[in-house]
Amino acid sequence: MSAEPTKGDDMDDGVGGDEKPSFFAGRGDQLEEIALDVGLVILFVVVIRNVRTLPDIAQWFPEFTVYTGFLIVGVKLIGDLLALRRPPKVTDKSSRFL
Amino acid sequence: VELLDAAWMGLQQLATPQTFLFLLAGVGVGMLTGLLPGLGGAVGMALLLPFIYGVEPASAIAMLVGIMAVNNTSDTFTAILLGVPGSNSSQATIMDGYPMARRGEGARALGAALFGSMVGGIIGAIGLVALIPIAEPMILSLESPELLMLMLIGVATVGVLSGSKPLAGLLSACLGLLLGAVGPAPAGPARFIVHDWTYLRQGISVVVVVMGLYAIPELINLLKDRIPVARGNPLVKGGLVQGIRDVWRNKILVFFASVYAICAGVIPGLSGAAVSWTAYAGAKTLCRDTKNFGKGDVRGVIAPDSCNNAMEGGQLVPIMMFGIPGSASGAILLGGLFLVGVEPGPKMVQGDGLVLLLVTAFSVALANIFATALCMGGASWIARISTLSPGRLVPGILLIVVFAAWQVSTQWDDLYLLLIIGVLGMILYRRGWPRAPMLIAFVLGSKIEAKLRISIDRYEWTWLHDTRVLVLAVVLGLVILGGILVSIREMRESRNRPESDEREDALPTFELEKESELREASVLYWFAWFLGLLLMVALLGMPLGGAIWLAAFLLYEVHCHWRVVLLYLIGYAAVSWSVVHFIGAELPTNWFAR
Repeated sequence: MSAEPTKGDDMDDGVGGDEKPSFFAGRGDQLEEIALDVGLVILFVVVIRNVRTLPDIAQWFPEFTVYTGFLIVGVKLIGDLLALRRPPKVTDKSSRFL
Repeated sequence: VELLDAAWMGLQQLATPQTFLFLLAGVGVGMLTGLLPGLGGAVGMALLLPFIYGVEPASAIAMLVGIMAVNNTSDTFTAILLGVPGSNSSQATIMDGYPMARRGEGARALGAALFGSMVGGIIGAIGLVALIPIAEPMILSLESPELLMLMLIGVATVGVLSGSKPLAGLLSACLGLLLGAVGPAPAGPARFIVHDWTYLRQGISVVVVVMGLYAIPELINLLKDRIPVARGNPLVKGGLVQGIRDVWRNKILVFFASVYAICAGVIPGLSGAAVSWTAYAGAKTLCRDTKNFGKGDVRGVIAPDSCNNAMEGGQLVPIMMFGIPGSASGAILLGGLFLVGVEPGPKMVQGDGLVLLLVTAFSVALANIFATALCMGGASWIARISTLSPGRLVPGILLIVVFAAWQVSTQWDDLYLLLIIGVLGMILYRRGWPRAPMLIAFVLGSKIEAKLRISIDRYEWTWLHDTRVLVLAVVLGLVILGGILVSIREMRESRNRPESDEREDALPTFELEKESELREASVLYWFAWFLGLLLMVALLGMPLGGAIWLAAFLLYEVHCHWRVVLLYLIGYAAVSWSVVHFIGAELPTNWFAR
């Protein structure tokens, strides 16, 4: 069974007709997830830069948390990027959010 | 003997008028939030959290435990009569309860569910007390390094088990730990991650985090989705007694479902929905003559409902004895205990702590009895309330949220922070990331850091070589590794899986009022209403700005008649006046007057 979007399917980006579907069509969920992962990476970087300025043992706990977070978000981000190779979802409802 | 003495003292504390009234208030709010689909127990607890400042610990425990204990009792009404789960825990009840209601046996199903809930709740309370002598030696032998590892395991387990995205759950827990690290470091002058926002130097209040993570996303979601309600009044006629007889006839099923739920409740992160579904499946497998299961068999109602309420007793074991919550409502309870100066953990099995632990157990039992009596006595009226659209309550609840956040330090910064955490909560909600791990990690964050500090100060790094710590570290590693492996497997499987919409509702049947009445306005649209509320309060202060916003919302969005709006405004004025004059609280003033 092919999950490829076909002409006339309920695409969220208004792609249809004879045009070739855009890469982004039906990938709203995946892109939102990747955006959230990247946002977290940026947040962790900001936190680690602030924590580094702290003296002594007080910085260990947030540092440990941030490095654990980096590890997990790294694995997740790789997974989410690999998932982009999958055919897009034709029933993506992302457009209802905004 | 010590247990009996403590039990007697606990009963005396619970019998004071103040504690008793707080328990009843908790039962009332818990029933209301359970009754209205979309408003969970966590939201109810969040709304009452600001009112426990300065209250006696026994009263605060009675109120918060009262909400927790009965939330799963009243959610049965909508599940059985309308086929709409009042909360996730009542999903399994629909399977047989709703078919029974459709063939005219709604009252019997309700009677069985309510009485089963009460018996389950009482068994849960007995289980909590019975576990005290068993857990006591273990708890007392634990020192800071072991407690540190247990807390980390608790946070990681909740992260992996809650929701369907283990990695997202773990990340959510990391975010919670970072939020908890904002403010002063334990036993040290350093300030974490505060940059130059001086307001954050004292740390972030649990009230603002709970409101932002739970109340705001749930309320906006209620507005956005407009949860469907049934038309008419599903009148309850007779048959309740027959339901009670059914429970008596199936007492062994009730007992086993309750004991199973207590054991499952002890494990952090297992949701009420998962436990009640497994109880349902267990009943279907173990009972004789199961051909009617799914078509209206009363045993399919009794098993999940008795299980739901018994689970609360099990959930209280790690919260009260180890200080490790396993769910969002457990984290709010723990946050509430910290607010009134009670520190759960080893202190709870001795002296005054033991008395409070027994107050908790008695509160669970009494709350269940009160809730069942109220539900059975006023079944017909409560059934009518269950047909109310929860969207109508949203404006009033949003005003309470703003007021509650303001009480933290009566500064505008409270509301800014509420807005920031509310946006974060919405994003997590939208993406299906579990919020419970974040809340639990936030509540435990400062405790985890304090235990780390104490362990290092007392034992330097030698505590890492201790056998018990090593075993716990291996368990922690396995939990995190398990979460990562499960996520990787999910990703691989989903790549090969045929197209399906993961967000489709898995529940069976919902009776919709009118398809056209379900609005699909965007989240941003509803968020704009919330921003509008803050703007009005900023410009005109809470009394006037809130009233104008309320009137505009009720007229424009809810399409209320002007008389209803007038009544709502009179109620708002009366509540605001009472809060200022009787409680002595402050309402948000306009931004220019700060």
